[in-house]
Amino acid sequence: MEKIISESLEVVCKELGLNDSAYKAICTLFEDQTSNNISNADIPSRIDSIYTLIKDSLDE
Amino acid sequence: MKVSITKIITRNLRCPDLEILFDDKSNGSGVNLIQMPNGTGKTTIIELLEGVLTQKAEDWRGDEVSNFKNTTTNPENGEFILSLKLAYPNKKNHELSLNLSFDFLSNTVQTTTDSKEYGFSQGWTIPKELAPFLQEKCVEVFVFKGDKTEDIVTQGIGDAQPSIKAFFGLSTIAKLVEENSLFYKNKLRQLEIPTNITNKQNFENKKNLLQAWNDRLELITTKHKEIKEALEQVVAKKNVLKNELGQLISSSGKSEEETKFTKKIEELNELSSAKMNEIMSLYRDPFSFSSNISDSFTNLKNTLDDLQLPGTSRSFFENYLKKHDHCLCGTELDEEKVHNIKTNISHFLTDKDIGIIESIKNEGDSEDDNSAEIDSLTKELNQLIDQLEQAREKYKNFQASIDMDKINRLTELTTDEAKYVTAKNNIEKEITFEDINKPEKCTNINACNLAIEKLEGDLDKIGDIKDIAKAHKLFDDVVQRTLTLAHEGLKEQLVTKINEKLKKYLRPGSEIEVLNIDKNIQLGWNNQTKEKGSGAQNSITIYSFATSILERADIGFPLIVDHPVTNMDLPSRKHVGEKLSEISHQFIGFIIDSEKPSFLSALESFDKPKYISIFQKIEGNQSYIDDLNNQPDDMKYISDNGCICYDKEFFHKDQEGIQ
Repeated sequence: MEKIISESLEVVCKELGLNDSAYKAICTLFEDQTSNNISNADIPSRIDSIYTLIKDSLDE
Repeated sequence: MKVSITKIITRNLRCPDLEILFDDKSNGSGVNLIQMPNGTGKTTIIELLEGVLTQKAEDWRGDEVSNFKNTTTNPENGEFILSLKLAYPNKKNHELSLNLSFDFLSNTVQTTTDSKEYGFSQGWTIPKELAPFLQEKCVEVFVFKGDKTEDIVTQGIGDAQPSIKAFFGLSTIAKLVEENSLFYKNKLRQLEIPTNITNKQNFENKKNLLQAWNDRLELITTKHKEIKEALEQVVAKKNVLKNELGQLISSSGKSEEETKFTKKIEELNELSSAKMNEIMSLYRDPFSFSSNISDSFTNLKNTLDDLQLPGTSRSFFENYLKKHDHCLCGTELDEEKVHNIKTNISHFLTDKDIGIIESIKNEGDSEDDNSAEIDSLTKELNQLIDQLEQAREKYKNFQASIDMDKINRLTELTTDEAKYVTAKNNIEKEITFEDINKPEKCTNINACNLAIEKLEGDLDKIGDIKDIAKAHKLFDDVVQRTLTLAHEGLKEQLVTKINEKLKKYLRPGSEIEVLNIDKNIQLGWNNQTKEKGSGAQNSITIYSFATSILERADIGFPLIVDHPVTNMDLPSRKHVGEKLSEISHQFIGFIIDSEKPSFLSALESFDKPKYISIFQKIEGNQSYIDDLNNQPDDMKYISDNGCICYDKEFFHKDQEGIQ
């Protein structure tokens, strides 16, 4: 994945108050998505765990 | 990784059966120039190339498949093979052929892959590192088709953004927005009713309603996006038209020039009208109408004066008879004379008649001669009328000089623009929902959001809806904002890169640079935008854009260009010829005779391009076929219906008459 995407993601996550775990989970999903490393069927479970990380992040 | 086309094979298709070999920088100059007479199948080859590179060929409909059939021989099947070489910096090259087999009986295609490394396989097995780029928006960057070439630098027509998004994976990440929405909907659907809920139906109803409002929001958001895009397009097209018309159009839809003309005409009309009123008020004097009337009236007055008329009235004589026994002339008034006077006195003028004649005479005595003033005013009026005529004539010429079709189109676009602005404002305005139970009636984003917020709040009291909704929105926000930020950053980097290339490739003194990439590549100089560059400047900008994207994405593709120098003057052709081999590791250009002057000689002075002359093997081409027979085997290819010659001299020959 392009470095500019992960850098942009980091900026946005900080702005929105998400923690490092949430950032890393989203970054990995982006990475897998761009390199075709993930099937459509696997995406929902990844989003589900990102939801949990976002919730945890906001609860901190 | 650098991708090169090494070979193309066609059989039983709407072009001759061919086996075309290409060079890249590893085995030649990398510049391949193809000349094919009209009707030989150049378009077919480009379409086939596109179909394979974008992988769209797999989905071609029956009519699209049958369109490729050789209608002369009417075969049952056909074939197109595209052989590629993938060169890596630190590992062995990978060579593969993407095969497209046509079944003209069922009008279907079958795809297979032949790879030196992995052998033969059904379907197209694309190496993982290449797969993301074999899609329409990426292929558009390095395959340039004829007139479409300049679209990307023409405001309101082309669009550079999708290609940037496709090359750097932004469009792939954008798909997560859709996935997120789908996941959220499913999550809502699967949400179980908490066990402590007594009014289960109410919970279920609200859940369904929330679902319906979310669907509605999605629909309105899509509509909103479409309207915004349509509005952007209309505004861009309007700007193009305005610039084409060479005028600044005011918000009223009239040009400044036109407003000037109509204002002048209005002014002259008003002045003429005022002058006319002035003259008419003078003409109300009856003497002003005609000199005959005036002269006759003067004569009448003089005669009356000479005769001392109108003299005295009937009442005077009646009183006179009562008081005198002598006439005015001194003779005695006997009974007969008195009787005669009394009998005829009814014919005498009354006091009123006398009054009228006196007043007419007095009018005639007036010394107000306004004819000179009328003459002067009439002269002024005539001058104004002349000026008005001239202004009208100039306006008529001005209107004739304008392309009325464009004016009408501009009017239509202005109407469309107003329509889209209204629709956009309606969707965006700050209103609340009318009826929470009727999401289908809602047409406004804010109202939708408020309804969703309310339902989420209601449901949150009994479930964890709000947390899910919050996470959904936040993740959506993260994806969208990241994409925007990365896109802006990439565009900035690309502008710098393109400008570096322009400095290198353009002729010294060329006052053109890329100012930014909005939708199109915006050209300009010293921060002043330019509508377009010259033919050469546009072409070099587009090549620079393509190679900048490829370099930035760390991948090389051949630049495939139909008519590479057709819109250029001779010095520009020479310049492009000198620089062409530097631009890309492989360049495949389809050229015609008229593009050769200056271009080929310049190209040859720096490089040894591969020349590929393709023509049909038919009787009319016999002299060319004879010539081909004299060529060594490695310089020619002859099939049942087609010929290829790789000889430079052959390529240089006038191709007029060849088919």
